[in-house]
Amino acid sequence: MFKEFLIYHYRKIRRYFDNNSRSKILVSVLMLAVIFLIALSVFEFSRRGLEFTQKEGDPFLLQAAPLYIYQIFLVIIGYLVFASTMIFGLINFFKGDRNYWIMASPKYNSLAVINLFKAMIDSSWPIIILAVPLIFAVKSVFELSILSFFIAIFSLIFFSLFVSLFSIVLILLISAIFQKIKINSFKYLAISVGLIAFLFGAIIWVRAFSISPQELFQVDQVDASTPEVIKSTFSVFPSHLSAMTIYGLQIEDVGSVIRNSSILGSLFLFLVIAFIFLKSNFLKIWQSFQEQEFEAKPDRDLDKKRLLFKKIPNSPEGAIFRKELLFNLRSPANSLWLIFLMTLMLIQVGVVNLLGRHFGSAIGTGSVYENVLPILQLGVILFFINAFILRFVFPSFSQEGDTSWIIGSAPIDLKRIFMTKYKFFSIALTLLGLVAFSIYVIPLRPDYFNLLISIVMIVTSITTLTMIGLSLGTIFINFEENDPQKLSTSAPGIGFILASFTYIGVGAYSFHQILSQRNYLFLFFFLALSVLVCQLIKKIATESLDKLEFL
Amino acid sequence: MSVLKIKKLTKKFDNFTAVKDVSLEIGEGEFFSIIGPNGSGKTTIIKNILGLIRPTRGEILIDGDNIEKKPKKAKSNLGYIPDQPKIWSHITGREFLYFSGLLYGMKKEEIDQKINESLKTFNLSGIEDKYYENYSRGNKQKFAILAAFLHDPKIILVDEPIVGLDPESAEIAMSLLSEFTKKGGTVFMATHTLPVAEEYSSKVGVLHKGKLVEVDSVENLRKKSENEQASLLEIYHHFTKNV
Repeated sequence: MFKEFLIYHYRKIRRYFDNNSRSKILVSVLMLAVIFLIALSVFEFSRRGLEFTQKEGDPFLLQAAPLYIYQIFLVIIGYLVFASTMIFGLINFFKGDRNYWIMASPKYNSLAVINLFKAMIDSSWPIIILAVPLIFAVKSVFELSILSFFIAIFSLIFFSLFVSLFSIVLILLISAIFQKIKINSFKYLAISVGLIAFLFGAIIWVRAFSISPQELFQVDQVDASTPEVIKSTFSVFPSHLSAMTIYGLQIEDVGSVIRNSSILGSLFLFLVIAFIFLKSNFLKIWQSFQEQEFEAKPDRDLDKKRLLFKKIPNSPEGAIFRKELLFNLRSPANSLWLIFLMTLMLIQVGVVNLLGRHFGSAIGTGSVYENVLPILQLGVILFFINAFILRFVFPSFSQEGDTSWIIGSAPIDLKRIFMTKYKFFSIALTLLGLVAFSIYVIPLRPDYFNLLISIVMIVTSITTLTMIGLSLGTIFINFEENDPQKLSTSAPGIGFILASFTYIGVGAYSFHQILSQRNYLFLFFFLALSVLVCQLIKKIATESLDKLEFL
Repeated sequence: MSVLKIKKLTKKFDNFTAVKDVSLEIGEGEFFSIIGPNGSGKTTIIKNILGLIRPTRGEILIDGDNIEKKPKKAKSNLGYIPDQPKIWSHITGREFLYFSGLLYGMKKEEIDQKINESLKTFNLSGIEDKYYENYSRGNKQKFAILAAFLHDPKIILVDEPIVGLDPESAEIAMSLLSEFTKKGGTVFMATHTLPVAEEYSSKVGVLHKGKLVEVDSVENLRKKSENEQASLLEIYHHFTKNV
């Protein structure tokens, strides 16, 4: 069965290039180029960071700083793998369209194994983008031998597989408990998994940042106990074992490498046994979450019970607005992605804030605090808002696909639908952006004028990026594909990434000019540019809607 | 008076001509069926009438309004029952009907009243607040039928009306369409279920490779085929064998 699965995927990739092969090859090359550029940036960032730690003469600092970098890097990578496996795994296990064929066959148990491998592959991206460049940086700075380098790479891949397996075992365990206590709701299962992922994120956050990097690395205070403080802080996470393996390779402590690898290997073996045990009951678990389909409790009358719905007008636009709200909030996959991206965004905004406060005050310059940090925060917030736009807004029109007969045959202008979608997404994303913004702005206590400028910049950027995303998704509408992930990684999706990054770059530069030079012309320049971009791209998008056919 | 007028409709997809020079006039209260095998162009004609795709040549008038020039007015007179009634995920049957009514500019109270009345037609009361994707194919079809009737259109366009319906529901659906024509409404039905077309249609169009070969009542088609006892299948073969 596994062999057939591999052949199927091999053929699927080949079939992908059958039609429009030139443009698809171009898309693939562009994708690889984007991945390579990100990996290169991570490599350069890590290399410089590690080199910086080696400039100080203190021998304790030489040891402690790289160890801290490994621990932080791997705990974040581990969380990314964990959270994305939870999402991919949950959907693949219980909601996959093709699951019925396998579950109806005598080889139904193979679905669990196939999905485990799928989840392991699907969730390996943080290893490729973040971890491998880190190891290259370690090799470059500490001149690791080829053998040590490969051991380090293998250790990381093994760590990623371990985390994926852990996530899958956790999903099976939770769903087995749900099945035992006869809760057959996929919605509740998805909420539970989402909450656990959020809880793990919170634990990592609290634990990993319980030590202040600024206090830890005061040169006169670093001593033999510093690496021990780091080790004990991170020892609760499995990433510690992998970090200690890489650290062992760096300081050529073979005993530590063998010890930590062995512990990780033993834990992996334990999880394999747990997986085999849970897999034996997989059919029953799977069945119970299909039963729910037919025994769903009557849904609440949203119109009567939710005030929010009463505020939405009873008009054709109101109908589209409600539909977007329900479609995006009720979908377990969308909700999980929403929680995942929000958690990442909040962690990232928090990290930048924390590090900025520590290091900004450490070097004693108010300018970093006042000028650089807000720009960095703006960039981080917009980066994540961009991820939301790419996942939810960009595919919005293409996702109408099979259901396009509803809006296509109704007496409503497609331009009105376009604008309703725009209003919906820009309101939702602006609120989200402002929540993230308020998390960092409260501790910074800026003056009212800076606060106002920052809000103007954030709101303008989010509404413009939303317009760019929705318009590009509309201009390059694709009714043949319904999967938002695949739509996001198409050539127009990459086009959006490039266009939005350019826009964010212009925004960050303007913001810098406003804050550091008090040059308010840049504010007007940025506002004018945003209005111009919005109007221009909206015009192209709505004109393309006039020519649209719902084949 | 003709409520649906199709003039020399041609639709090409790249080099492939799906519909070629089709002209038709259908009056109020008529039950028109267009018959033909898979790929003969039935759905393409319906999608052109609905304004889901644009004609390469020709024009379509709905109650006098050109679907390309006055799409909003023309579409407000149409109701559509697709052959694959797929709707947005995570929406209940009631919500779908509600959205459908709002899209056609109906008032909330009017929609509520209509939904409660129409659910009884197909015995759907009790499942209207469950998610649409969890319904059987037949129940999905029933909701699509109710949505098409909700805003009191002048013309109902139906693409394969009884696929997936149990015999009792199929009969209800066809009676509903039949009743609709008796009240002055017009039905345009695309089907290859020939006995259904034969039983209900006042007029039948024979479509072959995108060309409308013949249009008339079943009785007249029998006469033209020189076989008074001919079934619709035999009539179809008669008119298409030399094309």
